[in-house]
Amino acid sequence: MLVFPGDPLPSIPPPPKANTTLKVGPGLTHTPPDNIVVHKAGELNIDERRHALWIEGNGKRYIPSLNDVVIVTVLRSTSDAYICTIPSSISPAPSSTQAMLPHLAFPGATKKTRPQLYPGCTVYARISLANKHMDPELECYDAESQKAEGFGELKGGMVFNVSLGMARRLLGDGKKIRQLRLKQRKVEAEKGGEDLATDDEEISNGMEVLEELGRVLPFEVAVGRNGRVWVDSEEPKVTLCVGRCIQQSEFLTGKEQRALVREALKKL
Amino acid sequence: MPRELEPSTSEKTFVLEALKQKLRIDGRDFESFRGLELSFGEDYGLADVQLGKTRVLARVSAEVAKPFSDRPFDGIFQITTELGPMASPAFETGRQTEQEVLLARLIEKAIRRSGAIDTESLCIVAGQKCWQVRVDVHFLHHDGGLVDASCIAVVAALQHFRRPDVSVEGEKIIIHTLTERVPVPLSILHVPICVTYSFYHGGEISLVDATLQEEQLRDGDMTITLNKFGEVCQIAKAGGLPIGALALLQCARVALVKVQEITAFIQKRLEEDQTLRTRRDNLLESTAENPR
Repeated sequence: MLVFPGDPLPSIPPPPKANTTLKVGPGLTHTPPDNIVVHKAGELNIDERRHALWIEGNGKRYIPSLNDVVIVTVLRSTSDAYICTIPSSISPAPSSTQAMLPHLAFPGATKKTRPQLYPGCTVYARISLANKHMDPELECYDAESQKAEGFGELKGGMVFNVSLGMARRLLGDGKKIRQLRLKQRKVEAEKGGEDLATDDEEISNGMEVLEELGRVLPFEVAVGRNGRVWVDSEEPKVTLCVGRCIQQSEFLTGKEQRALVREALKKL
Repeated sequence: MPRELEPSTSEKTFVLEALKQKLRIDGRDFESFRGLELSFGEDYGLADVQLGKTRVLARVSAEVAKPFSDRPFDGIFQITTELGPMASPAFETGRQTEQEVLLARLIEKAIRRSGAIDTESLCIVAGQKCWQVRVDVHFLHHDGGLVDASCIAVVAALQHFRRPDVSVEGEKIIIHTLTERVPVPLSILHVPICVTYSFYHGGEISLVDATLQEEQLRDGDMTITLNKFGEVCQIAKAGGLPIGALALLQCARVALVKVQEITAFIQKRLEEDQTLRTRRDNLLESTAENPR
């Protein structure tokens, strides 16, 4: 269901168990005691099992939130932290969404062994502090294992822009959303008494393009929730091919994505 | 003041390295424009140009004014360009940046000072009344190539525009409404089109119609304005790299082909729009031209 800012919500289905709290996700504002208003245009998602609500939008401006993985650019270094900028997928972003990456926020870093980053470096990091009124803070290690787990400086390669929705799908949110959609369709079809032709790939989970590319080409990829995708490979030709395929696959179904990749590989 | 974000080191090295191997990020070859889209508004004189992601809107309006005292036989023709935060968050309203001044001057030089419009035909009564034609250029999205896109938008809007007809009887001037008499097109002498080149690796590589990312990384740039007859209206090259005469000649030659393509494209769109209008408003009977 498509909603716009200020729209009232439809009746929320009752919780599956008693005493489950309703989870209100991005795009919705809760004013106590029980008023929920939409503040972002997008598609309303209702997960009945987990009793959660959220809006799936496709904006271009990224708003930092806790535990998001992002691709940032180092602007400068101060005495105890790197000042970074979190670019959104609109390319000429102003440097106002600045974030702090403390020198010691790397796995096993001490004052002497910390990695040296220079202005213009690309870094893959996790947001460790996100607050409405403060600059966010970043960390380059996994919260649980305290290890690098792929975070840190991204050397070489190229950064491509995608929309925020596409970035979320590439990070695996697509599977969840697809299951929800399939379920919804089933319910609707049952209501209308029709048979549902289940085509698994009709709704893309956003990852078919990477799966298909990864089968043939050797490349590295890192996806940031701020709508940036970093790709690296041996040859610029391959990097460009991967980046372009990802950018073009945004509105395609799973089948079309596979066809797109095959077409691109032929040209390579 | 918000500043445009510089491309990161990895983007910079990759783009330049790829250019060396004759690859552009969006897969075009070096001498091709991005996809050009042109549409006209409901009224006369509104052109909407999309060049890739760059989008520019030009609006032409005309009103009766007093001509400048030193040019009593000429009408007034103005072009205003303003870069606002609508195009990119890096632009601010109110404060003119160097980029904005350069852009405004370039468009002015390319279209107004090259005599694209016959200003004498805008005169109604010498020294007293003339048409003041004004083009407002609005930038809706900035992804490089603002000069090229706005030039196309302005010339397309000017060709599309129709001003109300005027009749002079002795001292009295009557301006006929659009429904009363068929409105008159502006007399356009030639159609100048800008082609911007960006230079990389010390001038070894030259690109046509750079995107914003490519613009940020270029060593130098040059804008050539031509019309379809191959007459050079202006060449703007503010600093950057020195370019040899032969390279310049080669650029101009390639630009001519592009200009001819773009002019033909604008003409095609204008004709399509005209047939649409004729059908919609039943204008077939209402033409002032005699069959010759």
